[in-house]
Amino acid sequence: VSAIEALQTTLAAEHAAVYVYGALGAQTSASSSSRLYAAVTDAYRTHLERRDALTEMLWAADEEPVAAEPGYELPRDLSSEKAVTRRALRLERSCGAAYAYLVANLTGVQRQFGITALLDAARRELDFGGAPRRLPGL
Amino acid sequence: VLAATAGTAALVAAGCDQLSTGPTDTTSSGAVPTTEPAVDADGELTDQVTLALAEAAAVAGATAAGFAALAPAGEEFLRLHEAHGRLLGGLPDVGEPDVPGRRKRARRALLTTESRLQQELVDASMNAGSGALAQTFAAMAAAVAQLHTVWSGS
Repeated sequence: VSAIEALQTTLAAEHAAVYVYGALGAQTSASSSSRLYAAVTDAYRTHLERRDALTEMLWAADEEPVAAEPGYELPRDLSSEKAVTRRALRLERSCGAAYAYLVANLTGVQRQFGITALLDAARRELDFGGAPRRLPGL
Repeated sequence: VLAATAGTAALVAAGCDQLSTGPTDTTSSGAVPTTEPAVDADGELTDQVTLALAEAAAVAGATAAGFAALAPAGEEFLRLHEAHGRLLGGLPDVGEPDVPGRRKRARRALLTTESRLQQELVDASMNAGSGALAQTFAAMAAAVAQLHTVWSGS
């Protein structure tokens, strides 16, 4: 796997994360579930920043960044706080795995970026009810 | 974990959100194959990491033994470091650590030790020649970060 392939793969993952978090945010109320709303909003902003950073890395390498899909699969029922929380937890676990993959295939500042993102995803799992794990991302 | 393989095609097709959930995904992780031989420098790096894990485990164990109120945290860190040590071939013996005599200071020393270990794991990941080893060290750092978050807030 080349570094460019790894970056493109992770960017594709972040496109999906931004889309799904956007949908989760729309299902979350700032007044009735303020803690979850804050966690989802923060996660959404973080994934937007990561998507943009990955896009910049690819532009800097004279590569065309992979585009977002028109849409991504969402759960049928996101009407409850529990469903949103469960979905967000799954998303962070999956993104942690994507960044672990990035770490394995890149070096230098790009690997550092992957490590930082993996640690953030691991901490963020806790915001969505996850329990500590032995090897987050693997 | 270390024998798992990457689902690159599945990742590209579905994004990270689907990494471990699709029926065609034969893995549950983003781990890469570890059949590649570790370069010599990685052996030295692994020795440094196992020593750091052993020292952190000793602090966690001594803290748990010395303060009943800190036992849950100390024991959880100890179990984590021992599990990570087993992945790397076992932890070396280290001497008894100095643990502060007061609970608050002991708690602070425990969390400081864990923060230091987390940074050592991040540095080791950065310096690993093998991608698989880099990934493993980063995942270990992430696990320490999770426990630190849990226990620093309590």
